[in-house]
This record gives sequence, structure tokens and C-alpha cells, in this order.
Amino acid sequence: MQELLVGIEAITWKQLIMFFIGGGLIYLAIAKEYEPTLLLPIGFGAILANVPFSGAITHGSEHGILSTLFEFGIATDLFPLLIFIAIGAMIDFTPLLQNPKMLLFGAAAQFGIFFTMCLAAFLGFTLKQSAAIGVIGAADGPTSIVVANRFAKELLPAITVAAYSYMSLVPIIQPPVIRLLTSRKERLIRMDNTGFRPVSRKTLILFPIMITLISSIIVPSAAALIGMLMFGNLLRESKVVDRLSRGAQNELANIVTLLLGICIASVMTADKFLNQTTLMIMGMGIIAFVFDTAGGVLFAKALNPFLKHKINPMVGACGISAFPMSGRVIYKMGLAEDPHNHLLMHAISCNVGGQLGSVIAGGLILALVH
Amino acid sequence: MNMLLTILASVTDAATQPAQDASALAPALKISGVALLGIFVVMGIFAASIVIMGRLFPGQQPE
Repeated sequence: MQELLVGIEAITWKQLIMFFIGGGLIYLAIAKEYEPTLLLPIGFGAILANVPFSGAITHGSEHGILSTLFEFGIATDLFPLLIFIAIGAMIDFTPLLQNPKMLLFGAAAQFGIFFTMCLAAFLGFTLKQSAAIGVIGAADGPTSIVVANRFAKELLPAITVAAYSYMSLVPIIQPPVIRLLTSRKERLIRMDNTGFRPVSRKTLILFPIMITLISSIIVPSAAALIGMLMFGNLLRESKVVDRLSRGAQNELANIVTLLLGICIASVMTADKFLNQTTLMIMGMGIIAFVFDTAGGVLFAKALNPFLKHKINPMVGACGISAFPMSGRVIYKMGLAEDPHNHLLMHAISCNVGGQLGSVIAGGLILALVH
Repeated sequence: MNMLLTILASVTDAATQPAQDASALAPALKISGVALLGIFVVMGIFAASIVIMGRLFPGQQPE
């Protein structure tokens, strides 16, 4: 009888809080549908990992499934890179190819990464930890995981939860920041929807190869990230391996997402997760998203005096990765201001540029921080 | 391209050198500046390449 009570007697208040946090993530996933494909497995995994003497995580020589999956899929960067193949196969880059100047917004809206990196350094984190925290602002889960795994393994759970939670909160985070930084007149700016030129199949096929070559030569540390993303896109655009393209978009994405979420939770144990550092990371994560949004909006405002065809500054906010959620948010905001102002194509092209920008930002940080 | 790489490499070296110091703020500021500039350069090259590809392989207007 005593053996049956060992687990109950060993429960600590910190583990109870972790059960509550796991339950909260499951609630957000089911009731609010915030990034359910990741928050649901992470929430359940957090509960499983915090059961006293849990057989799901490794204790000494006794291996647990969650820890084994973590060592196999996260510590080696395997799962996030496989996710990139799936994302690449899902993304249609045509809007960006029709409107390449939008790529610059994909650069401007990475400002939050660097602001947050400096803030973290100011608050006393080491340079590598600061870089890993800053990359939450990439609004790109796999990039955040790769950088955190390389630079600050101890912060990986908090960074991952922050990155995915705030990505799901983009519709709540971005609109107030945009309204604060723009006048109604600016939000009513109409953009030309007739200038989109057709894109040839050759261009669509050459684009992923060209992006891989350029970025890998200039930023070799980004080769794996951008290479997997573009490989997925080449599968899609080649039109000769539809089975592989569909497999990447569906089976691969589903299986890896499922394993990714639950094994990240293996390191969300109370002793590692419940501390002041986690709270600080969650706080800095939201700052990163706010300053990303501000960077994109202010860049558009700065460009406008020099442009014949003005850019609606709201579109600049889509340079944050969070694809395609940010593009949809801005499209809806545009319609709310003026029911005849259709910004969708511009917003999506900017948003796709943000996806590339976030990967390049991650690669540059990996290259520059030693 | 070689010149660009040389400039980026020299700036990168200069930026990462003080990373050994105790305070992380100074290197973080320098790295942030270089990285942000680097992103704009890379994205600018992407944009220029897309424009060139568009000229070389123009798409057909749908009938």
C-alpha cells in the first residue's frame, strides 16, 4: 500500500503549478484555438513530465520516451528543420515574386529581435542567452528552437512556449501597436492592386534554388534553415513530385509537429521552468513582437515621403514572420477602416518576405554570436 | 560580391571581438547593428535577383 502513496507524497507545490500551466495551455488550444497543434501537445507533455518520478522522462539510467525524443529530435535540430521542409511546401511565394520590394519589410520587421536582444543583455543575461531570447521576435517557432538549442538549452522550454504563444496572439498584439503608430489617414491609404505582373514557372522553380545559394554563400550558418525551407518549396513548385509535396505538407508536418510539441515539454519540469527567468522571457517575448510590428510600420512611414505610390503603413507590420496570420490581420484591419481597401496581396507578399527575413536573422545571429 | 563579403567579414570580426567582455550589452548592440544591416543587404540582393529573373523569364498574362 505504501508504494502506491509514494507518488502522492512526493508531489510538490511547484509540480501542481505545472499541472495548472499544462492545463492552461490545453485550455488555450481547445477553447481559444490558439496554435492548437503545438500548445495541446506541449500542455499535455508538461503534465506528463511533472508527474513525480514520471517514467516519461529520463531519470539516471532509466530512459523516458519524452527525453529520448528530445535528444533525438530537438538536441540535433532534426524536428525544427523537418518542419521547415513542410512550411516551404506550404508557402506560395508568388505574391512576393510579383512585388519584390516587400522583402525590405521582411528585414525592417525583425527590429524587435535586436531590440530584445539588447534589452536581455542589459538585464544581465549572457550574450548567447540574450540572442536566443531575442529570436522569439522572429515569430518563427523552428528558428527560435534552433537558435535556443545552440545558444541557451536551459532556456529552450520558456523560449519555445513564448514564441508559439505570442505567434497565436498576433491578432491581439499587432492592432493596438499599429493604431498607436498610425493616423486614420495613413490607415486609409489605398495601394495599387493592378501592378502585379504574372510570374513564369521558370522563375518559381529558380527562386528556391537562387535563395538557397545566395543566403548559404553569404550566411553559411543559415544554410540548413533556409535550405530545408527552400527544398520544401522546390518540391511544391517543380510540379513533378506532387506526392512528395503533399507528403511534406500533410504527413511530415503532422508527425513532426506532434512529436515536437510533446518532446519540448520533457524539459518543462517544475525545477527548470518555474523561476523568475521564465517570467522575464515571457515579458521580453511580447516586447519583441511589439517592436517587430513597430519596426515594420515605422519603416513604411519613413519610406512614404520618397514614394510616388504610397504604402499603407499597416502593411509594414506584416514583415513579422507569423505567416499567414499577420497578413490576414492587416487585411481585416484595412477592411475595417475602409470596406473597399483590399490590402491582401500586399500584406501576404510582405508576410512571406517576413518568413525569409526571420530565417536570415536567425542565421546571422548564429554566425555573429560567439 | 567578393568586396561585399570582405566588408561584411571585417565588420563581423569587429563586432564580435568584444563579445569576450564581461558585459553583454556592448557586443549585443554591435551585433544587432551589423545583423540588421546584414538582413537589409541580403533581402536587397534577393529583391534584385527576383527583378532580374522576372526580366529574364517574363510570365504570360492569363488569357
